[in-house]
Amino acid sequence: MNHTFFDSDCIVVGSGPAGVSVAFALIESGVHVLMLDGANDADTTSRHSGEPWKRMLGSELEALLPEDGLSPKLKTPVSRQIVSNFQQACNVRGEGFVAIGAKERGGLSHIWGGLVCEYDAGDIEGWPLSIKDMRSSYGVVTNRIGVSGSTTDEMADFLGRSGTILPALPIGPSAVRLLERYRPGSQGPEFGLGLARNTILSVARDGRSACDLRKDCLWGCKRGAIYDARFDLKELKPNDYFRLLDDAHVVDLRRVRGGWEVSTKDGRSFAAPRIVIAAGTLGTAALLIQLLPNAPAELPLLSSPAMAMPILVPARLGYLPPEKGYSLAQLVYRLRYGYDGRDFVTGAVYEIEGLPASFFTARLPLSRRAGTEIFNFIAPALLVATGYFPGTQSDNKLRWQRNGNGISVVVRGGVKGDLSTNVDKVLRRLRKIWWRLGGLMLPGTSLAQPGIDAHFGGLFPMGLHGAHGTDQFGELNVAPGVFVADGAALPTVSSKFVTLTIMANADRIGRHIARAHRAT
Amino acid sequence: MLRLLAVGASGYIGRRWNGLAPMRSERKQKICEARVLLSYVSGERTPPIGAVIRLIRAFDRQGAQLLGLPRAIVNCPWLLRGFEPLRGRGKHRLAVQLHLAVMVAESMSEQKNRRAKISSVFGTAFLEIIALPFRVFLGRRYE
Repeated sequence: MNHTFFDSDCIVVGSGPAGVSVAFALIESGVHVLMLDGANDADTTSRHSGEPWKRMLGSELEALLPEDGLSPKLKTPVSRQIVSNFQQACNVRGEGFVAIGAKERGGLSHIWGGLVCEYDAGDIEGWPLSIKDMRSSYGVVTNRIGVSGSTTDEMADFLGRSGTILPALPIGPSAVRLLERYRPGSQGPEFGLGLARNTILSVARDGRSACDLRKDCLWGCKRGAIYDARFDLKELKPNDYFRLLDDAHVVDLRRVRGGWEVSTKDGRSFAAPRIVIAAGTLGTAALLIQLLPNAPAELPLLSSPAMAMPILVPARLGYLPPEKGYSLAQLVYRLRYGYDGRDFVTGAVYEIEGLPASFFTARLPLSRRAGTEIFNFIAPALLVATGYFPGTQSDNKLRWQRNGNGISVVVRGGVKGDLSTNVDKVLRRLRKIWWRLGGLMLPGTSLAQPGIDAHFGGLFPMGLHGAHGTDQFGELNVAPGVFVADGAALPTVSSKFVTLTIMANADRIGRHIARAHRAT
Repeated sequence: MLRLLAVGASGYIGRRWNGLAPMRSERKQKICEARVLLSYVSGERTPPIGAVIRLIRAFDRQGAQLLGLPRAIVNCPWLLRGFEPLRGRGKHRLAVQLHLAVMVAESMSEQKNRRAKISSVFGTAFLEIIALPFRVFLGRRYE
């Protein structure tokens, strides 16, 4: 069917952080936006709220499963339900890979860790744009979502300075101990440590409350202190230029005269001159791969191999846990391990108060009873540090095939051969550094299953010539008018936390589309 | 040789102890075992019935088989310490069921209430050392 009129100036597929960032940029310039969301306002979190056991195990005990190596965040009933719904709805699965995505209002922001960080010029080396093109977008997004942290410590430049940063929340006593003993540069130029930068409000604003330090961040913040793209949707909905359609799960795209038409699972179709796909990296792949002529049987998928290490702060043993706190990242660190510009690890340090004991007792060689008791004793003195390696250390392959129900996608997880050497090098160095700062790195450091980081990218990279490449604004080479605005468009993935960069890039793409719209 | 001894010892003790296990309906036995596991991991003599029900539902969903715990363990759940495997917990029946029990136990109350005293930690460490040889020999009992 050829359309003689369009449903909107631009259709945005997906209501996650990237989708709302594009939408804001478009409506500010007077472009009519139709957002298609595969989900609706039904809130998965409220289904699992109420009594403590419901929050921890799920109303139908969805999270009461044998140990499977996932992170505490991904083990929560809400996360499990969201990821499992996504995998089923989009026919995506992992082999040795945790295929994380969300078919949920607000996308993955519903279950994210809240850490944010800007990429710098070194991180985007090889991208078809300069860091100047990103700076203003970083500022716009930072101001919109609400970010708290420090702008004066050693890590402030590393994390970025765009936008207004709210005052940092008080961190836990064990993290304080490490930070107090750290002097900038004392552990060599390749290491840095500072306060974490989180999208958690320390000051109430825009109808959202400030964090009240109840330590239950893991189970979802009822006060709205942690950013969720649904807050942006609330702001977008009343705008005359914006329209949101529920339960519009897009399954197909085809070219029509002057634009594109998308079809939903329930048989509806909508057309616009431009389509922005922001369905999350894997969701976008499942949708767009069919557009590629002679699409390769497999595409490389970048991710950040991740590890987690327990750190005991002996000086804190025997103390009672603090009454108040928050369980998002307290500190961030960086550690260079190689000579290439991207050869550094970025990590976060968490207080483990507020995390379930079962996560740790399953890894201890003690009996469960002893493990629980000893864990309860050392918990106030225990920290967990994560470490993310750059995407160059990943070796994942995304395969696809056409079947009766459409496209099915399989991601086979893998890491580069030299990762284990680099992990050893990093751990040796960190063990010494934590010790000098008053922390004892305990045995039990583990490299997580690929995909657990959810820092995906590289599927439709900006600046790549060829069938699955996109231009500097994420417009598909083989399908002009179709833009990729989520992680799938990132040419590289640094070890830094990637969500803010995805949002800023989406904002930049949105502004470009608005300019192009005005020009026509 | 050590492995043979371990299998032999656990088989012998198992036969002896199973002889003590009362004949009862499968459902009742499931409830009984869930209570024992919860009692063991939480340290509470009588775990709340809601938690017991949740654990049984989890067992049913996982298709977990009855362990066939002997009367001695039913009466003294702390004896389970000697039957926990040292390694290879992934598919070990008792280890999997204990993991579920730990999750249910920690959902019984808010996290902030947990606290342990140094004296009880030393006691635990002592018991753990005592239990070690038993775990080596009996750890395969509920594989």
